[in-house]
Amino acid sequence: MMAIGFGLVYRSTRVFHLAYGGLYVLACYFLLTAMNYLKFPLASSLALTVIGTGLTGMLVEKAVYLPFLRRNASSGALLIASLGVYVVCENLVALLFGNGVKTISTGIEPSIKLSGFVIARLQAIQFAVGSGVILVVWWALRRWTLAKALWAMGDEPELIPVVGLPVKGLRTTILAASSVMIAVPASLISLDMGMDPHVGMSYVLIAAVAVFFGGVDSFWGWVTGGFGLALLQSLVIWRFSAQWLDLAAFGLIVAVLLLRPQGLLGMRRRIEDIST
Amino acid sequence: MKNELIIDGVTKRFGKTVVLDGIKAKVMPGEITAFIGPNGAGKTTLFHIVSGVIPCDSGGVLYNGVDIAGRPPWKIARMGIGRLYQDVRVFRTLSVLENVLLAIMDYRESRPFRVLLNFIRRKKVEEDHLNEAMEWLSFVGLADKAALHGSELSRGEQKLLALARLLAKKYTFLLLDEPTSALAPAMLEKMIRMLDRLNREMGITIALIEHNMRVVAEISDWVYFIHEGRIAWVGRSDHVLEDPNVRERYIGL
Amino acid sequence: MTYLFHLLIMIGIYTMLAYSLNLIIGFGGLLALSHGAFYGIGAYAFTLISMKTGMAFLPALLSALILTGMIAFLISIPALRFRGDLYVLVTLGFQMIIFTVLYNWTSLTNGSWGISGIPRPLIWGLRIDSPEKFLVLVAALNVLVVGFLFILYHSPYGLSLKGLRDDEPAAQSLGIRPFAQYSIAMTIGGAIAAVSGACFASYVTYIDPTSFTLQESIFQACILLIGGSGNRIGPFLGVIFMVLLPELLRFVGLPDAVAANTRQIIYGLMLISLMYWRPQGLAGEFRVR
Repeated sequence: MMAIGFGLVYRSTRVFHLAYGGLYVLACYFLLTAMNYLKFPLASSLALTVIGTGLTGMLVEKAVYLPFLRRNASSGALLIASLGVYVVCENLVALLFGNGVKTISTGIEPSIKLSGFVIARLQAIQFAVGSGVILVVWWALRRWTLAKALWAMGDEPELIPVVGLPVKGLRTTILAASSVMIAVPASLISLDMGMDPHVGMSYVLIAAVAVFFGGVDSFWGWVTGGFGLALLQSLVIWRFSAQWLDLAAFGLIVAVLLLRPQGLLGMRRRIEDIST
Repeated sequence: MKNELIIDGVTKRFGKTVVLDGIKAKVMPGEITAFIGPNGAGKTTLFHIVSGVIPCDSGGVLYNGVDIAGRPPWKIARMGIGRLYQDVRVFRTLSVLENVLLAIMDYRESRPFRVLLNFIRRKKVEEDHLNEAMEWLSFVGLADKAALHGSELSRGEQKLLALARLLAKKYTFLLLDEPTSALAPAMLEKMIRMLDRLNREMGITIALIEHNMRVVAEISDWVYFIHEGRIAWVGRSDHVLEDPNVRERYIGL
Repeated sequence: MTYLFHLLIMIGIYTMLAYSLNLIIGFGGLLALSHGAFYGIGAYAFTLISMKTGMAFLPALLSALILTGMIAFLISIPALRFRGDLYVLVTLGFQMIIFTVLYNWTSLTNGSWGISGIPRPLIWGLRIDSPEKFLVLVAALNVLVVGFLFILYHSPYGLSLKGLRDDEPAAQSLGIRPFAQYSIAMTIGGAIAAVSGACFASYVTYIDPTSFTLQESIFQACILLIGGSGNRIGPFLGVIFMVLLPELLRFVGLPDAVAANTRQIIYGLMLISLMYWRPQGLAGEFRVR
């Protein structure tokens, strides 16, 4: 899911959305606030989190990315501005909530036994939701003309206003959609394992690795990348130990970029497109 | 033969589209050869392949009898082939003078080891280079703008600067992609005279991509008409405007 | 007073890091996020070499420098197949990989426990055991290193890097070979980061992997992004700003617990605003592309 969110933004707006990591953290803490402080029940907390994150994502777009776009800023500048947003988010949260790990108690602990596999109920929910979201987005991308417009924007950004489509509206929608998307895994993971303000960077990087691994240009590439990476990580934990996770992820991306830069399912691009 | 470029059956595909289909062409030394044709016919792609920016799918490119297909652009440049891009490309943050200086300096000089050596020996390579740079700038008429940044020049002036750089490199073979496009009339004249001079007085072999038929007619010796990836007509420049194919497909008369 | 020396020494260490990274980012135009890793490799290489072989400071420093330079060169080979976002991603990847190695290769690096008891430098019989003496050492190294870099900056080499930075295809059409020039920059950059690493190790006498994380690489990049790069004054301004800001916050009375986060927020905001209004940083020449 995170890969999809990241991929959507990167493919269509060409922004290396490091702020995504910030949104991840914000999502976690929205949930925390809702449940622990405001004492809302789980369902409405989740809803609140999703909406809150979505709105924040739109805010980032309006306040940061759009002005940069108007100024014709370079992609490097945007990447750094995005990094700046991430840093601000990470530390605002840390200021408000402290730097340590926090958990939320939910009562979803019991496990389900599924033909020999022990799956925690929470993880089952994660899987179900994840698959659901993937299918919904896939369906949306295929059917909605809106979605096709998003894709086209990544190919030829200058053409969009010419063809009469609202660039700003599209971008805001993408940012909102991807932010909503990240709220889901953020919530699920933090319910499972707790949260701390500094994990955002790891997650956005994992999302980026997944996207590039599977192929920047293909929706199923992102999904495959996400699954592939998760599989790899599980393998690493199983055979070696959790310490080597990062090495595996980043070793993978370096290897992929070198051997097959378009990713597993990506398309070979024209030389002019690869330029920066 | 020296300065002779042979394009031998070059084919290039982008995805499913065949952009160039078995192009065979020859640029004779000491001549100006023009490549004309509608937009998207593949002319710039051909130049990209010759100068090493993109590889071709099949076919070869021979320069001075050596196969240069597939070599990286810098290697091809070092063989003596200079390339002018359609979108000019000057060094924007560098001064006009520095633009030319960079061209004058031999690549060997820009290795750190040599730099340190020169520093220790206090070698004054600077002065000779500066003088030579100013000479070239005067040749193209930009001497008074030497201190300006590359980005501060007008489009036409940038083209002249790019040309000055190529000349400073003492290339004997030039690939010029639309050297006269987007130039105001006065500048256009200047450029045409300059190209003519380069070829006649200095013996530089030039391959041009041009849309301006006047330029083609006035200074080029030989013309290739490329249409949909193939050579549709080839011949002397005096005859090109007479050919019905060319007129119909390209000029629209 | 000792504290002042401490600050100056850290400024000295970071100045060398900034100017070496400046060669890559400011002159080369490549946003490398791997410098923290080379800082770390240099520190560990120096430490291990000097503690296991008993070499004096200067020879150990030289060895670490050469070793780190070689690793930097090796990394430049894959990294330079890309530009822009992908280059950033690859250098970032290497940063993470090296961090993980430093953290987990416990038999070599002692992992998260770090290495302590690093001896103070011994140079030609003189032991550098006071802050004043260390400052002189750092200053001397700075003169050599930054002097060397300045020569490079203003040489045909520096000019060729700037040309590549501005327009790589155009530079190639002049016969300049991108890989050669860029990888030399990354190699020299990495090697000099090792010098800072060695100074850091023998100053603090204890190193552990947490000083050489992605955060550190980002911090160093920020020095150049905020202060400016591609010229002589920008990096130094950046170092002063980034090193002194925490002190300023402390001066203003901000409690330590809050200071760290506040400082980061300021960095973040500065990055955003600078990229918007002044992409060349406070005093730089290179605008991020």
